[in-house]
Amino acid sequence: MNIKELIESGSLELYVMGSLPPEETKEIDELRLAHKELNEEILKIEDAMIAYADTHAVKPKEELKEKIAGKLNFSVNLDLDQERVSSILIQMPGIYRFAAAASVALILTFAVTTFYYASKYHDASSQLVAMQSEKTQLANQVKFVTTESERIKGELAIASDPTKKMVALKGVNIAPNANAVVYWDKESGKTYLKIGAMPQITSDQQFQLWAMVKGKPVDLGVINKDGSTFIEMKDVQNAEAFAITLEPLGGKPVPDMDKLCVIGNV
Amino acid sequence: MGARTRYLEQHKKYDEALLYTELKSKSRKAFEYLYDNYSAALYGVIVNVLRNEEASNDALQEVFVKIWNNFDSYDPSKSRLYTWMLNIARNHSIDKLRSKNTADRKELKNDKEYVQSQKGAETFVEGIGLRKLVDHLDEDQKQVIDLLYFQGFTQSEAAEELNIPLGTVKSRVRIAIHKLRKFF
Repeated sequence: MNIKELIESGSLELYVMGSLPPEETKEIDELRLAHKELNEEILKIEDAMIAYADTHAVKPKEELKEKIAGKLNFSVNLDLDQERVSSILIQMPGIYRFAAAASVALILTFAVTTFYYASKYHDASSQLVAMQSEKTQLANQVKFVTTESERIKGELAIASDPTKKMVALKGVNIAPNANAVVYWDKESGKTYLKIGAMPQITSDQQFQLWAMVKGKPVDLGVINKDGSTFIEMKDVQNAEAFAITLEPLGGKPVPDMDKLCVIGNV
Repeated sequence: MGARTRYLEQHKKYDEALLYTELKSKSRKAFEYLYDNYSAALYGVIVNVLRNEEASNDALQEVFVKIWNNFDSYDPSKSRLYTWMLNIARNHSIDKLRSKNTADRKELKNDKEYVQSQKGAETFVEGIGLRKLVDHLDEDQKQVIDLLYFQGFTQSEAAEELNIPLGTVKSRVRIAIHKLRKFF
């Protein structure tokens, strides 16, 4: 499914509401990091759901606030009790009163400076939050691009290796429009398959690759799509031709030639 | 004054970055800010799931403790902070609801007390002038969102409950949220 289809599918709405199964949720968690337009769409849906929740807002009873506050651990905050301070000041002899006034002035200066830097800190840390989230997104995009490029490099190495022979398989019998390509290393026997167009199959069927060796079919394994372009099959020596047949799930020891889909000579 | 302007005025106070910094400090002031701005929305979700005042009051306290203590596990790349808090409220309430048996949940739905509490909620919502926006949704669109969002139904449970195909659940939700998006 491409991004546009995903956006139109309604899955993102379920994602935001937490109604998707965990594996699909995880998939979207990852996709949104690599696709900006997907992420923006999700944020818009979030806003709509936030608004929807707001339309259902109900004010809790007044007394709940204190009850809740009693259950939380707060960081300690020093607060001067003004009245107590003044009453202490009045009881003091002159010189001490002056010293006390001076220290209060000092404390006040200190408090003002602290307040100034605290608000600076506040601004800076808001910006930091935004930048941190941006950084995570970027890092994830880089990770995504790196794995993609590793994968493509590996595939390019197979396709452009001069020791490998490229064998084009063309559609026959039941699938005239099908095609596939085999890259075969004559020396080592390594065989890779690249699926082109193939007919639709049901969940109880599977394609199976064969090599013709001395006129006889040799099983090279059933084809499991794992997302990579080149599928590594069993090794084979002295192949004369390659062919794919449609078989029941799990494949068969001998091919059913009526179900031949594509074939190509080396 | 249009619905959108009214909504925006109502929501000027929601400032994610500010809330984030406040919550990090874990001060008493942070709690005041959190409670004054967000408790009604969180309580609304809880009430809509549990539909019972006593249980909802307990749940609100538990939800606040969870938000307060688990704040460090919030990941800004996965959702907005507000969504994260709403989901805690929602999931906690749904867990509470599920731990009771299904039978008495159905009974509660037809309960007079429940109808009464619904009326109360509507009056309050009317008061903040947002109810009209929800009226843009058809009854069946509201129903499917409420089942998924407030009752925690999965897509297939919702399809079964409403007796509609699985794909219709998705498309109905999408249309409904699209309508909401036009106004917010």
